[in-house]
Amino acid sequence: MYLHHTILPEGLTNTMESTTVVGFSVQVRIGFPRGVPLSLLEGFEVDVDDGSSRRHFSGEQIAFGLRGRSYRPADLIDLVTQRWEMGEVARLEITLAGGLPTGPHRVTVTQFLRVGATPEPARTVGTRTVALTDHQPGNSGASHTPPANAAARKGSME
Amino acid sequence: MHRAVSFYSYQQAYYLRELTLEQCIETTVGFGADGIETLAEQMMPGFPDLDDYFYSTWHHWMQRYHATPLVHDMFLDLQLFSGRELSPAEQIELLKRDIRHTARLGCRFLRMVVLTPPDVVAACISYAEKYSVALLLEVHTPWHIEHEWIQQHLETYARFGPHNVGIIPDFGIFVAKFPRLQGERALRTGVRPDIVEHVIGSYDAACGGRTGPADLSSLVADVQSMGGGPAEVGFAREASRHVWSNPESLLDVMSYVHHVHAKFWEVTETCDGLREYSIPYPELIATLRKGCYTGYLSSEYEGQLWLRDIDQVDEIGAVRAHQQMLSDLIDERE
Repeated sequence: MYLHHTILPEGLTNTMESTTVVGFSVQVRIGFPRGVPLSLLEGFEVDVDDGSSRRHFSGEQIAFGLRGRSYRPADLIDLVTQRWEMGEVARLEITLAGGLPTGPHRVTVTQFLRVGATPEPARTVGTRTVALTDHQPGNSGASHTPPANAAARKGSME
Repeated sequence: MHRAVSFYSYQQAYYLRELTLEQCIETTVGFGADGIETLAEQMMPGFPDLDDYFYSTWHHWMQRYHATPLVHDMFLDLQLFSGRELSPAEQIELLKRDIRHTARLGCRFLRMVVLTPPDVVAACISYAEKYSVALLLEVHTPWHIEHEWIQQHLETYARFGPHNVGIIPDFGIFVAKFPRLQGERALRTGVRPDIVEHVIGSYDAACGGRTGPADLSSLVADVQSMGGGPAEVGFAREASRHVWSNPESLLDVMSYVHHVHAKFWEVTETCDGLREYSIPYPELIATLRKGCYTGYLSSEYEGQLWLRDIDQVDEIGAVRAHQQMLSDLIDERE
């Protein structure tokens, strides 16, 4: 869904715990034309190609960060009370000692969403070349994008 | 007949935060349409726990823009829980939840996805009646009106009569000519040109008799015998999901047709005026008129599917053209 728009052009960063680089994170949007309960997220795969090397990440190597919280794959099972809204920016946090080198990286994110009538998940693949920027503290969850209908919240009728 | 827009049409603009929900309403009435069809799970973050302020703001917008809240499009995630399908009781509770949301929006209609079981619908009709909501099953490709599943639904609905239950035909079940944009995208993504040509030719030939539904069962086997790889077979599978069915099939069920999804992918200028490339709108609107349909035609743009790889999606422009075509064909001056 929306292919490269599922990966944001900014926000590819290495993540640190204390002074140690423990991985990297990338900002993503859902690859589906509506939001879904987190229980429908069956997992992600991330592929990074910087020209000299190709790396593949999946399963427990990837945590899903949304609105300040970080979820491991097991945390998402049957989690129906939280939703990933359409267009809302989330963060995938990938474990990789030493992180990624600076410079451009061709990042491919595959999302597996159990949105069909059968248990077989739908698969969305987005690819974008993104440049690595500054370090970010580890397990920070998503950079928060306010919902588009902020005017529908208390305090404003605009 | 009247005009509406399903906000599914504006999905990419909303996704990229180029349009807010309010701006979708403003844009729609700017086309001269008053009917508003929304998808809560798409543009109402916080659903199903929207607060009173949201609903009061919504009604303020309806007044401000002289819009008519018309349809809430529900989704039913049968695989909501890992390892099992939702039970009928769980499905009924979700449908009742969405009935309440539909009523709070002031909408008359709730769109049910085509896989909703007839028994689940039957269990909710009297509940919907209390909220003055009619439950409408969307008849969407690859199903069609004469399909056994839809006929089962209609047989169930006949026990209750058409006032609070019915169907929404999606015009995607009347695809008379293979969508040009879909073929062009296949070529861009490397599907063999000879196979693209074969699939398009086969589809158009199968629909040529116009007595529908067209038989496309051999498409995948044909492509495999031509040595097609995964991309080619995938294209053939996608193509075989299109449906050409006889517009006259609407007349048999007209008392249950309360709303229409005016699906479109590409509106083109022809010597006869604006026309959808694949779907015969003049014939369909004439059929609806023959059946004395007085409901809404809701523009539902889906061309994004085949343009997103080249970033040429113009949803507002597409809906503007479609709304003009509808206006011309409905002939609102009379």
